[in-house]
This record gives sequence, structure tokens and C-alpha cells, in this order.
Amino acid sequence: MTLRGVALGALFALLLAGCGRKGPVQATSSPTPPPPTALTNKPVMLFYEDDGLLLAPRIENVALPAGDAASLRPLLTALFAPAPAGSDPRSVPEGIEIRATYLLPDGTAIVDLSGPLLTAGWKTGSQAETMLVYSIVHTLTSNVPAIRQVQILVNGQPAETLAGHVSLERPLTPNARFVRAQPKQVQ
Amino acid sequence: MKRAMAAVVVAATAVAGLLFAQAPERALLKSPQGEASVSTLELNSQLYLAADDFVKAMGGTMEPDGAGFKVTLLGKPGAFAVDNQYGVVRDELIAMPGLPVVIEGRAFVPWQFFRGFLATAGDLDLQWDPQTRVFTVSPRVRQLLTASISVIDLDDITKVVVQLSGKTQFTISRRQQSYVVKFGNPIGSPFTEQSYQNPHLARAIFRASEVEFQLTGADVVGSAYRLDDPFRVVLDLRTGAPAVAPSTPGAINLPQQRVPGIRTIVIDPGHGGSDTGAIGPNGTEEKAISLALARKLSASLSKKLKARVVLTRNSDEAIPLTQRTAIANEYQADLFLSIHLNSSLRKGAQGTETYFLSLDASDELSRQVAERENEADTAPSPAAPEGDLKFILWDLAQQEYLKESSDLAETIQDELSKATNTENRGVKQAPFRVLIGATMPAALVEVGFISNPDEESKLTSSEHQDKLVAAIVGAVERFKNQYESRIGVTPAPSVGAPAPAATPAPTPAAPVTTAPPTASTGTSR
Repeated sequence: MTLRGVALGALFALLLAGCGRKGPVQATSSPTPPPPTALTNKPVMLFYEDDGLLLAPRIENVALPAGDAASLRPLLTALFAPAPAGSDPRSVPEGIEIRATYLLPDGTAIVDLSGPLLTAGWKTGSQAETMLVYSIVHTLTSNVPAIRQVQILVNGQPAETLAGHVSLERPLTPNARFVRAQPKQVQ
Repeated sequence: MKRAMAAVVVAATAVAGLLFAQAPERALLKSPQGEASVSTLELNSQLYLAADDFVKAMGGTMEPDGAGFKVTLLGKPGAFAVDNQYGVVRDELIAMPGLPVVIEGRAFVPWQFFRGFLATAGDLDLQWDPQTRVFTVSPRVRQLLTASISVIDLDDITKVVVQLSGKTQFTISRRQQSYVVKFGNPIGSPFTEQSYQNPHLARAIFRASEVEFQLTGADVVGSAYRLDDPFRVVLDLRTGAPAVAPSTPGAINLPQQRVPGIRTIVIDPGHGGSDTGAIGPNGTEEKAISLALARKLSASLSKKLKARVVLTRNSDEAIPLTQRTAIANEYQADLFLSIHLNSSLRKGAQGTETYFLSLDASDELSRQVAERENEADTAPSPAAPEGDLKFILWDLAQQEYLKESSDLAETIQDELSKATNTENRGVKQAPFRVLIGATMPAALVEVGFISNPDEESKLTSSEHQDKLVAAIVGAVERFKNQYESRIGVTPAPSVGAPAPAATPAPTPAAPVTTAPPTASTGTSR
């Protein structure tokens, strides 16, 4: 716990120091390492809200670099990408950008989000917010076993919520209550 | 029809059972009232007692009542019926190994009914010796219960939670600068004496069957209540003007708002001000509907339940999430309800659902607290952020009420699904920010999907809003009755005199009270 506190404190300090700059913060300790050149296509589970209003995993191939920490951004990029032509539309809102990702030694993934939707204040209900938050948590924890929990930041800062409901003030762990058991669609 | 069939089955069972019955025999009953002869019967390998003999020998009374009998023993009422394997004493159920029977006009009950009766009503034990055919009534040998103590500091309140391994009677009394909790059983204590760095609690001292909580000053006052499953006695300590002198020496002075049961309800209309909440396809804003519903709820709850109802906002203003529960805590509310309208990216989403705080989050927090306490034993932890610790403590506070919050959410969802012709999406748990920190049963109700055009239209109609309000009020009423019965409003932990009328502390949000002040009672919670 103390270790996590120290690490988070150092991370927030780094993020705050970088607030005046544009673009992702270039942290000097324990951030995602620079993307390696070798990418491997791997099947991963991406979690989206289905018609039953639960998260259901879709299995897709995503080009991933080697290393757990380096996988975070490509996984989230794939999660937020528009649906491939001809497949079900994806239930993630538009207007979310990935500012930075980090993986702490204790298994806490830090996901720093940005974009017009969150900056302007997302006007939505608990269902949409819960689904987005836990789609991130489940996508990361399901595909990277080293990740135990996910801390979501907004614009480099700790955030209370994304839209007034789910607390983001502490790291979130997977919540099986929001997930359908079996993959709905395999591509 | 079901009842009639059950009666037939019971009658058949009783008749079949009689085939194995032996003729009544006599036995001796030794009790503080003296010795007496009682009739017994062996039925299906179970020993039955003639109820009239036993009641008479113990100086009680008995009379027929419908399908059963009312019994008064040791001044306490009880009952049993021929179609029920459970008897009742006060509000406790007594399980029996067989159904009571009536033979030639005399009621026979498994002797265990009276053993349970005496234990519940008089703390007495009833033993049966088949060799000598003697029943003996004697003072009950009390089981040793193990205790643990948690002390949680929540800004202006210190919650002292004494958890026991089993249920027991208890009283709380004030001795100058301390509260003493006396239990009906001997207590296996986790320590003999422990000091606390706390604004209200200085020291806890265990002695045999009591624990004394020494306070930091004479101006520290307390309110107490009981929680079950597991059995806990909770003492809330705060600094305040000492109440009037107790009419009973040694009684706790309870702040008026902390009287038993559901008396103060805080309704939280979701969102507000620049935070519109979800917006429907026809432009309906969540914040407006949640406020309209909250106002209707407030009027109805205060009228029907005679409860004091406080709104966290009564206009279109932005109230921080943390302040909403702070208002409920400030008013020492007994219930917190946050009203929301839902929204989904799935256009067909519809229905109602009710949330309470995620247990997973609290479990994780408990683990973190334990971890931190362990660290504190060996070395200071300067890196531990104070805010994080505060969150942990607030969540632990709500954890105290998780079962009640779950019951509340279930009841609301049940009533909503019955009253509205919409999909029942059930009860869920999530770490909702507005529920963190509530020191009372708390739930968040999603009354429909504003993102669905059909539901948006319904939610704006006054008629549908009235249905929703009636359902929630009905649920609160049901929960109130069950909760008050469970926390034992009558057998209160103290015999405190009612405190003088208390004025709710002002809060920055200037919440609106929409009901008369809390009724004064002399019982404690």
C-alpha cells in the first residue's frame, strides 16, 4: 500500500509537472517504455456493452508490442476504435483520447484519458459510465495478467468520476456483475 | 387453497403420527416454583410435553387462539400452532423437531419449545433426564462470546463497533466520563486495556462481561444502536453540549435525531446546475426530472411516514457529490436515497435498477486498513496519503450498513418492478461516489432510461412520476418496518431520557427540510 502510495505520488508529480506542455508526458521512471518495433498480432478480448446491457468480450486480433506495460495503449486504442465494417457497432462513446498509460510494479495500471467528451463534462447516465469504466478495467486485466487494478485519470489529474457516478478516486478491480460470461462474437 | 391443502397435509401427518404415539406418561418438573407432575408423550421418537401442565407448573397462563395457543410465561408472551413447526416468543422464533398436536383437547408440544421459551424469556435453561424422567429448570449457563473492537474516526464522529460472536442482551450506562456496555454473557476480550489517539475515545477496558469506554472529555456524548449478522453494538461518539440530566441514573443522553428507526430521510436529486446529468433524445434533462421526483417523494414520505425529509438540493444548483452524503451525515439521517435517471449508448435500454455500494470495494479497503495498521505497528508511514485513509474510513462506515443498504435496494427494486410496467434490471453493486461516506443505509435508484424515447416520454409525465414515487414510498415504508423490527427499537441498548430538541447543524448546501422536526421519543437506537 505504501509502495503504491509512493509510486502514485511520484506519478502524479510527474503528470502535474507536465501539465503545461502539450501532448503526453514523458515520464522518466516506470512509465510505458517506448514502443518496440516488433509487433505481434495476438487475439485479445475487448469488452463492450451488449444488448443485454452487460459487458461481453469480443475476441479480435490486435498488434501488440512485447511487454505488459507496452500493451496498454494498443489495447485501449483497439477498444476505442470504430467497429470494423459489417460488425456490431461498439458501445464506447466517441471523443475519448488516450493521454498516457503506465504500469506500476504492484499491478496498478494507470490510464490517463482526455478528449473533448471528458473535458466538457460527459452528460450521461450511470449505465453508460459504468460500462465504459469497466470495459477499460476488464479489457486491461483480462489481457495482461500482471494488471490487478486500474486507476483512471482525466487530463493527468485524479478524477472524481467521468460523469457523476462511478468513483475513480481509487483503483478499480474487475467487477463480474457487469460482465456476460461467454464471448458473444468471435471475429 | 394452498392453506387448505396444507391443513389437510398437517392433519394427515398428525393422524399418521399418532399411530406411533404411546400413551401419556408422567414426569417430574423441578423449577424455582417448586416440583410438579407433568404429562409427557412420545410421538415419532420425540418427547412432547403437555403444554397446560407445564404452563401451570411455571405459574403462567395459556388460552386457545385460532389454530394454536397463546402462552404467557415469566411475564412474556408466546404462541404455538398445530400447523407450524416454529413457535414464537416475543419476536424470536423457536424451532421444534415436530408439529404440536392436540389429543383429547390437550395440546402437546415438543419439549424443546419450552426450553427455547425459557431461554428467551427468562434466561433459564430446561433440561430433560430420560433416566429419572425429570425436567429441571435452572439458570442458564451462559456461553462465552468473543469480542472485537473497531474504532473509526469520521471527522466529528467516532464510531466504536463492538462485534460479538453471538447475540446477547446488553445495556449501556454513563459513568461520569465513560460509557459502560454490559453484556448478558461473559466476553472473551481481545485485550484488557487499550488506549486510543482519538478526539472522543481515550481508552477501552474489558472486565468479565462488560467493556468501559473512557472518553476524552465530559462533553463527549454518544448514541448507540445494534446491528445483527454479525451481532454488533455501535456507539457513535461526538462532542456536543451535554443533554439534560438523565431521568434514570447512568443512562445515555441521546441526541434527539439519533432516536430509533427511520425518522430522518435524505433525498438526493441527482446532478444539478451545470451538471445536467443525462439528456434524452427529446432534450429532457435528468437533473430536472430527478428534482421533480425528489420533491414529490419528500412530500409523500413526510406525509405518510411522518418522517423528517431533507433534500440535498431544492433548486437547479450544483452540489458536489461529497457534500451530498455530508448533508445526510450532518443531519444524522437514517436513510439516504439518491434519485437518478439512466442513460445508455444502447438505444433500446429500458427499465429500473437500484444500486448500493460495492462490497468488493469495501473488502479491498478493509484489507488496506489492516495492512496499514500492520505497517503502523512497525514504522510510521509518511507516504500514506491522508485523503486515501479518509476514503477508507468513510467506506468502512458505509460497510457497517451494507446489509441494510442491500435490503433497502432490494425492497425498492421489488416495489418499482411491481408498480411500473418496465423491465426489472435488478439490484446491483458499484462504487458509486455519492454513496461513499454515508453513515446510514443508502441506495441509488435509477428510475428509468431517459436515453430511450419511450421511457423519456413516460418519465416526464406526472402520472408516471406519481407511480414511481408511490413505489419508492411503499418500499421505504416496508424497509422501515423491517429495519425497526430488526434493530430492536423496543429493547433499546440504553434507557436514556429523550434529549432536548436539536437543531440540525447548518450545511453549506442549505438543504431543505420538508417535514416537521423529528418526533421525540425516549428510546435509543
